[in-house]
Amino acid sequence: MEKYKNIIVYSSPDCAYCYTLKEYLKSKDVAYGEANIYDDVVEYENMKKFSGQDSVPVLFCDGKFVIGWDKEKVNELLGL
Amino acid sequence: MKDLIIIGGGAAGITAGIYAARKYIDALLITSDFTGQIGKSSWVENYPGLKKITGLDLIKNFKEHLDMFPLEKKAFENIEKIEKTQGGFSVVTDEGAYETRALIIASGNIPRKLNVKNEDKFLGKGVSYCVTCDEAGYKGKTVAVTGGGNAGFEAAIELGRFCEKVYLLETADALAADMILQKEAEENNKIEIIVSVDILSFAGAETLEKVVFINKKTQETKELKIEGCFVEIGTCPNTDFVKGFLDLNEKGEIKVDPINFETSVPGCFAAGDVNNLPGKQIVIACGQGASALLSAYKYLNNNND
Repeated sequence: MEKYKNIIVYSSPDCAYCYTLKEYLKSKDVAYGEANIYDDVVEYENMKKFSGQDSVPVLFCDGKFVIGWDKEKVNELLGL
Repeated sequence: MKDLIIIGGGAAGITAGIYAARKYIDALLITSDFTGQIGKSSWVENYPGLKKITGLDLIKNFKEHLDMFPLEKKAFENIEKIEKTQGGFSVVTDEGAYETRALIIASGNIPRKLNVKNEDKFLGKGVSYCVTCDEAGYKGKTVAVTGGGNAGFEAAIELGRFCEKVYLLETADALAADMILQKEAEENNKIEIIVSVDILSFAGAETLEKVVFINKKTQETKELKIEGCFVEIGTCPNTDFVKGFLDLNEKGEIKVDPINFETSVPGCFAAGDVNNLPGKQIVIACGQGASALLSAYKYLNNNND
């Protein structure tokens, strides 16, 4: 979906909350990029810098972000 | 109106869903997520037929199995309340309202917090409730795990693979984890187990730097320098939405008949970690999900008017 081209999910491979967030985005046809903090140290440091913390998932969209899996906040950020 | 609504997408709810679909029951499964507590486990070694599997992979297998059947599902919906109606029950979620003749509640449980000073301040800055989510940042660092049950030991063993040092802190005098886990932790010289501990607070500047606790036997206050603390002290039943509707015990668990899993309200059953029966285990939750479904099926057949 063109509207959501700048979305990134910061996640780790075995993280249940990350899985739920990604499944939710798929259910809403929201396209997203993914940064695996296990493999990508640069993106992990970037996430810590902009979010001020080190826990995943973090949903980033056009300069704003949501920490953790929170449907209400995700809907608000993405206008769902 | 549905014949049956199943609330929950963990082991008990999914098993009930599979059994319902195979009996062609007109059922709907509603869940906030398809992970349950299983998905938050680093790994599972006590589910027969699967020698060792990550918790998330196991629950994904459960979900794929459920998806084999044409059962109606509503995912990502949070239950707000349940009410008795003339024909059965009304289930209200944050997305809509659904009517059903019978109900199985398998809403599981949620992680407990320590409720100590600065716990919220350092959330995401050293304090975490999910090892599998947040372990990546702690390679080569010193961390603590609170909780001497299976979840605590599994977390400590997982972190012991790559952390420099892992303190496992337990409030009781004795450890509750399976002996196989205790033995594995004791054989890892990076893991240090400390019992009879009451955690008082977390401390640090921007990020977590230490945990402060009291030794309950000596009444001595101590500090440990750590950069991360993973809280694994058990769970609370996810029953807020049935308070005042069903009888709960002092822990907030739904009271059920141990034979047929019926609650204090006829036609409403509860299975898995959410009820008051002992044994919060995946395989037990699956068994209870199946049993509750068979009881609900019998109830539907006996009340077919």
